[in-house]
Amino acid sequence: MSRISDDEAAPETPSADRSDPLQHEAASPDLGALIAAAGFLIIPLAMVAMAFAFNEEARRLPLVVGVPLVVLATLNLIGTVRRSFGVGAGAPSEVGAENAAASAMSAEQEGLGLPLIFVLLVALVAAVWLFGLIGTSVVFIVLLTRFAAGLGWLRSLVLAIVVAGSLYAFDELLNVPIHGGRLGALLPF
Amino acid sequence: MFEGFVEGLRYLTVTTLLWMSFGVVVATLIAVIPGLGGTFAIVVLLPFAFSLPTESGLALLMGGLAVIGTGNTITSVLFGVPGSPTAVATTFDGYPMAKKGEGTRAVAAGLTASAVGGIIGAIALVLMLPIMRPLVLSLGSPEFFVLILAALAFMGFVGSKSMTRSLTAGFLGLMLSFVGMEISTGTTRYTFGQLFLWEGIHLVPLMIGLFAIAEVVVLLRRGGSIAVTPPTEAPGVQVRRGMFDVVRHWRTTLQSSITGVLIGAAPGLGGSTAQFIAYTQALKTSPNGADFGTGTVEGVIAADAAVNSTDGGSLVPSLAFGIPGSAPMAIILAAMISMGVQPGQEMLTDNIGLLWLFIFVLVLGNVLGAAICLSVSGVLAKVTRVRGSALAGPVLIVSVFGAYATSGHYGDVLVALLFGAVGYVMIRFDYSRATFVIGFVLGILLERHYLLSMRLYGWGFLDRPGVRVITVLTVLVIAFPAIKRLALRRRGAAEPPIVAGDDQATTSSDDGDTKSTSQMGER
Repeated sequence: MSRISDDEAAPETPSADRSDPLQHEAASPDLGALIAAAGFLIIPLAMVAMAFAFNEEARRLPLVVGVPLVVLATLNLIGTVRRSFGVGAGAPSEVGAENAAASAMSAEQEGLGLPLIFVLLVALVAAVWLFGLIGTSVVFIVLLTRFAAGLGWLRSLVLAIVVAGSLYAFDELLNVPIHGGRLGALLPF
Repeated sequence: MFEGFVEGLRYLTVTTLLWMSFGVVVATLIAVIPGLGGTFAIVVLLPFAFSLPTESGLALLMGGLAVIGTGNTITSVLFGVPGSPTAVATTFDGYPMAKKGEGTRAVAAGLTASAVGGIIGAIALVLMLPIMRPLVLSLGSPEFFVLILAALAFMGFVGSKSMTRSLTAGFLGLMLSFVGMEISTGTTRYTFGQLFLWEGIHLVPLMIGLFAIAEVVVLLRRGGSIAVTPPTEAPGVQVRRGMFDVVRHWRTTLQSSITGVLIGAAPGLGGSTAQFIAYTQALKTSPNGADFGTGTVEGVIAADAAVNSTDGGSLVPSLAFGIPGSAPMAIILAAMISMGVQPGQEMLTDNIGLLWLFIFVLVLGNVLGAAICLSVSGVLAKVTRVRGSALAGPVLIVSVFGAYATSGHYGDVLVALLFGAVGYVMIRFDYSRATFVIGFVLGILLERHYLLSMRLYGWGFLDRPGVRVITVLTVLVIAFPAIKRLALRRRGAAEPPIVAGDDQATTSSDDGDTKSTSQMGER
């Protein structure tokens, strides 16, 4: 039976480019894979445990689906442990290898670190909640395109204004809800 | 029939065509924006429709309906962001093609397939009207329940290299579809006291997180651009190739379109189910099935042709019986009734001209929508070669906008962020996001039809002939590759004059076996 992979599908990449951070991470003994596999077991376990508190009608399907899911996730964890410790066919480098072609263009470029990306995302969500989407979008896009992508101030500003303007137009013309922010009312835009 | 055709042509005035074009343009623009989707496009057009004469108003809405599956092909392919639930399967092969520098070709193929699928849907509508009545009326919740189970059974064939990881992701998606209020008893499940989760996890924020935010994280982490390989061909050449691909893979186009029509005709299923069924069907029947998911144009064609052809199919139960086949169709149906046009017998007799107008608009709208999108696809494809960190800002902002626009609750933005993290973990450790979404989308429908079946028939619903037929067909489709292999092996053994004693032939036969074994091993 032929099988397909998701778009992130990982082709066999024994000669993964070391300069690709994701490839490099994938080749190390994979503690991350173990944590992910454990997470994929803990979540359904918790959901199955919680299902027993529902009434009979409401818990039927969560249990019918949840119990096989726990079995699958356990098998997955066992498989990941075996792969991580080199038992069986799968090698650690197989787990989570990114698209090999990625290395072709990104080899010379260093991406941002995961903690920094995480901080950026949390900062974005917090800023939108506090200041609203329109104001935040201008600042966020300018900062990211100017300092992370290296675009000039003018191009960054134009891009930010185009995006923010489009959102504003949608808000005005189509009445699409846009988060105004807790402090949004105090801002001039 | 012929009188209706002539009357329909009479309705096709310049004014009607202009309003149809307006509907096509607005719906295409809205469909390109992630999170807004087809239902929103139709809702936006409603105020305009009510202020127009009946024919123009309905042409406007039908024009919008015709292209809601077209515009989101662009974001699905170029950025891996499905604009609506009906565009998820397009990302499976479209986005990998964009990464390989074939984004324009994928968009062109997807748009052409959408247009062809839409036209086939319209033709099917004409052909199916006389026979659809008994068929649609014979399908009830038990049949829909088994149909969804069939779609879930195909889940294991889509996804990562490991079937265990693929199924784990699919079942987890299925499990998360149970979040929210259980409809028969009103019990809240896994809501943690959050009111906005009573309706369950909204699909759009989930998809935005899983696909858009996760991809942005990968892009920022990796550096470089979406297209990791520079395009080997000029945009014009890629557009021509993409359009020709649809002709070259005419069998897939036709098969997926017919699947889309049939699924569309079943009330409540629609494009989001049709795309997965058509995709897995193409995967299993195509000689290139093994390449699906790695950036093969056939995968894009299969998904897109199915989505647009559902429109024609969904018109059958909507117009003939007043049962809407999808959410946008439900809105159009409500608008029709408000305008004094009743579905049912009257639609097939007194208003047959309007029915033909719908068919003309479906055909013209699909062609126009595809032409508009094709004309800008070359320019948009250049965006995939821009540095990722320059794209990340706008994509993240639009993602937050799309997530919030779903229900106007900030919790949905947090849901998108959470699933962004989940999506990144899934990419990083090769868990299939595709099966996760399939499980989630179908899980919602599964429980609804299960409850209805149990209420109406008890366990006796499994004895219904329709249920048995669908079950047998599903088992046959799943078993087909094994049966085919067995037949090939027997045929090989039954040809002694050529094969026996021929080392080369024996090797070839062994190769076949080895391949099969290794493929099974992958599972």
